[in-house]
Amino acid sequence: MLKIKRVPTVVSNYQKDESADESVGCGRNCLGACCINGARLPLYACKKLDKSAAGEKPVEPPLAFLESLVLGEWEDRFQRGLFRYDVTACETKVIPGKYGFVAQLNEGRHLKKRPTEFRVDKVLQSFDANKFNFTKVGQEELLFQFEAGEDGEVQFFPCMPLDAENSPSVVAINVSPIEYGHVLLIPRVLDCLPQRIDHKSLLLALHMAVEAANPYFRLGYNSLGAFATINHLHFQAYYLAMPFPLEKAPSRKMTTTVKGVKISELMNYPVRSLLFQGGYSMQNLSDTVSDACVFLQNNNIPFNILISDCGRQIFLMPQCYAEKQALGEVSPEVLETQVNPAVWEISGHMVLKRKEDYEGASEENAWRLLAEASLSEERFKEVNALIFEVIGCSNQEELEGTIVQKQNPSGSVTRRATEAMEVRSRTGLPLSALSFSEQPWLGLAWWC
Amino acid sequence: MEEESFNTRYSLWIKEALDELPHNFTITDPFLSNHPIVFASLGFLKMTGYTLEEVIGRNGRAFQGPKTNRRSVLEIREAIRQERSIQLSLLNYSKSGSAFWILFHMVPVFGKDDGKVINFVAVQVPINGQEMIHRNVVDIGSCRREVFMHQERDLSVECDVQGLEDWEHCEASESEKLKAVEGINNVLSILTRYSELSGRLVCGKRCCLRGADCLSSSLVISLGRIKQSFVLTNPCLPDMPIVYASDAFLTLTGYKRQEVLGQNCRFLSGVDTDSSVLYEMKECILKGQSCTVQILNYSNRKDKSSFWNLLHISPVRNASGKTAYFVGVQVEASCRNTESQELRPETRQLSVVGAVRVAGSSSRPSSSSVESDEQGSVSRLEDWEHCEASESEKLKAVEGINNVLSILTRYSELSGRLVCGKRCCLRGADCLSSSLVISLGRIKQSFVLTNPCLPDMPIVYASDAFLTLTGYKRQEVLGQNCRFLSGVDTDSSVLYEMKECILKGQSCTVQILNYSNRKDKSSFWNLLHISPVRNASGKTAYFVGVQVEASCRNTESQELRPETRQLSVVGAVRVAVRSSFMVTY
Repeated sequence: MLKIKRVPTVVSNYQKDESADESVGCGRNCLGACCINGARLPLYACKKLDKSAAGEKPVEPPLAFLESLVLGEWEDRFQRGLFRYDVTACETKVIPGKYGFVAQLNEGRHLKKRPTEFRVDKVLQSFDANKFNFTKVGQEELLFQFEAGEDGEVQFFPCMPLDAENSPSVVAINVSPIEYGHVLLIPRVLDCLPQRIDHKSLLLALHMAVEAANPYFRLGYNSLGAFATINHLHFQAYYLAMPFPLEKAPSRKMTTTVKGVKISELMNYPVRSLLFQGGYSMQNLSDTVSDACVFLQNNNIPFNILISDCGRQIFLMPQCYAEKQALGEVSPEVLETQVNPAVWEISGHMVLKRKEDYEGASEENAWRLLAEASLSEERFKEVNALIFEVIGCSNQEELEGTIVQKQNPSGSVTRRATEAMEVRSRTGLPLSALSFSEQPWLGLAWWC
Repeated sequence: MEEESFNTRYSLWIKEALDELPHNFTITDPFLSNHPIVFASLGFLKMTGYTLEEVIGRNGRAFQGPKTNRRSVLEIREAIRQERSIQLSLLNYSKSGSAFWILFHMVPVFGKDDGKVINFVAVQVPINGQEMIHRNVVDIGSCRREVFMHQERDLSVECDVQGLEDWEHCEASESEKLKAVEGINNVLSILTRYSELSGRLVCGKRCCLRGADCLSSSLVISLGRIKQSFVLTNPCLPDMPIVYASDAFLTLTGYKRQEVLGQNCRFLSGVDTDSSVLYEMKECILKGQSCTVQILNYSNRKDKSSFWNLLHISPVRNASGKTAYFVGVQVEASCRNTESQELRPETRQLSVVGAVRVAGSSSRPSSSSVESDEQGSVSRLEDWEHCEASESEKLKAVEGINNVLSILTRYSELSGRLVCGKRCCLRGADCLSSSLVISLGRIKQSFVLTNPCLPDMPIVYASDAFLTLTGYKRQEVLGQNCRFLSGVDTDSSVLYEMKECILKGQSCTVQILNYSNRKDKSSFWNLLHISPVRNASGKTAYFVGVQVEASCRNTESQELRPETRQLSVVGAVRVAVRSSFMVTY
């Protein structure tokens, strides 16, 4: 069993006392059965995106509704003092050089925590109710409920009861933010899903990126073994109003799936990555990436995901840093910085804990760190070939009209899913959706 | 609004002049909300199939579509953010929905007086489809070439779309690139000419320097007392341009001030200048050291003569200990004076360095020489403890000031370069960058930014919604402290509470009676939220004040609560300000 020691990130103010403190009616207004009765939270149901009118009128991009909600509620928690530090007081700079890596000095993020052991050789681990999970956060740390709507219109209910039966997806603050607006999207929080990609959850995250309608609001995902610290399904997101080096990296097209999803590989970037974009609908894009992720996690390959450009682009980065670290193969200078190459670091946003690292931050250092996380050229090719096979296969199935697995409307697929099922349960589109209409499914480019 | 933006900067008939250019181009104004197009050439309209009315007021993104390369869009956005030029191939869409490749070349246009970005000019050269069509022709077979050529017009659009996917990129030819540059130059020259006529010059390179680099008037006054030839250059700006040149320098070199400001010093070198000396200077600058060299320089005097320049270069630090400038002091070597009564030229040279250092460090915290002059006059009055003027004398003084100001204003109006008695646009670190203004423009609610580092904490940004709410014009509120919104019935205890919060750097929400300048001069209850906003280095750069008219509080269930909306403005401002300080050059 491979393990590494690291300081876990404190994402909730209720995380500190990890020793199970499960008294009934615990008095901290958590999400457990003890406190959830009568709890209310705003509910944002986004519009059904595949039908969104695109390209008709160039819509002005004022703050989108969801963006106002995220920013407004986040600022409210900020002013209520729920965060462990003021992230806007953390110095940030662009490291001089060709790529424009962003460095932040964040001395407060990792204080007061002892390193804990993390198992890094298993990407899929079962949910452990005794460890910290998001049902234990305080309700004041929740911002709103978020659901993928069935309607053509956004629906908003300012005061919606939390329906424990339906297991709402919620957006919560991260009390150790790495940038302004740092939130966690927790799909079906009460279902206690382990950190594992399923089709419906990734689609929900993509929905959020599209609805936020701001290219500087990205969602990220870390699998276990790729620096997720909490084994309870969640995505992260925050605002950083500049392009990430990862987004600027040139790419080379490798293939296009039958559903129009274009897959490219990044060139000249320290971490070998795949870029998915296009597709005849948002679900095409989401499903293709989900297929790839399900393959990776079933084959125990840790990975990170970045959903970028208002949901138009998804980056997939398989990585092996933690494994190398556990085997003692990472160079000591790199280890010493204590920077863990999770999704944000790989995207080019480095959060540094030590003043000397911040002052001496150079493109070369950043590159060296990230390069350690990358799969080797050979391994990357191997993994790609397997991914393409998986995606190709699923496409083949669908073309032959053999897809049978329909998404259960209540979303209970993954709850029941065994590992074996997961592989089969690709939520393909009904065949009717395969019409090759060139209908672009998103609005126009956001041009500053 | 778009009309106005264009007319204030340029003189009459500019549009007609621009219309005569054959190029396809647009001009945008980053200081208007949504960064709209304020001018589109006839060629551009023809290319895209839109009418002028459909284009004006829209953002350039309207012409991109589903197959436009996302990376190109990102690069353009980034160029705008960094206020620099960019040239790339871009897939645009016409009104009919057909896609076509263009070579997109965009440059910023700067105001000559303050170095602020005024406009962006984007020239778009269609990339000749021949190459692409050729590929298709090869597929179809050469026998059909003739037919194909015949129908070229209709077919090319279709081919475009089909072929697109395979084209990650469409490279423009050299001649197309030249054409783009030519277009840019032509447009710039017209903009410059017509801005000259209006008196508010623009230019293609940043002349005076933005951000922390407009020298304060107090520093300029101090420097003006140094009667020798020297320049200040700013190592923090790209290419280390000259930010100050003394009169003696201009006499020595024969250049005019506007010809040297914003330029790197290398224009003084010529064919016979020893490059090893240039290298030596560069090394010293990189190491932050001072050096003295003898270098052959070329003047712009009538005889275009060259001269041996005994040049001394030294770094100058500001109050916070960082190297803010390099000072370069020139002594014409042939003029070296050996008379014993004079200081040695080297000593005189170093005295300039010393004087600049003093001026540089003192002008940072507050102003310098003006104040010390005042101190002098006070000390002479020592015997008189105080002499109080009568009310009528005070009034007389105010009247005099007002009369002079009004004449200055009137005559500056005629010349087009307006002056006014209050600080309107903000100097120094306080000109908001165009990229920040673009980000702020997305926030459609009523808010202002004020700068706590400037005297009396003036407003530096006011949103359109704020102007609608209060009935004032933008130029009436910029540079003012927010107190003009208060009136006789405004509760002074609330004002006090706000002041306390601002002093402590805290946020607060108050309900305050404000007075509008709307037609009915009505007052209204303002639910005001104030918060400090930090920049990327964590320092409080602004306060944001978000107004919600209390009577308008909306209780409709589908809406966000007004408090949430208010806080969302604060959040959006934080994000915008934080990143605008992270621009790299």
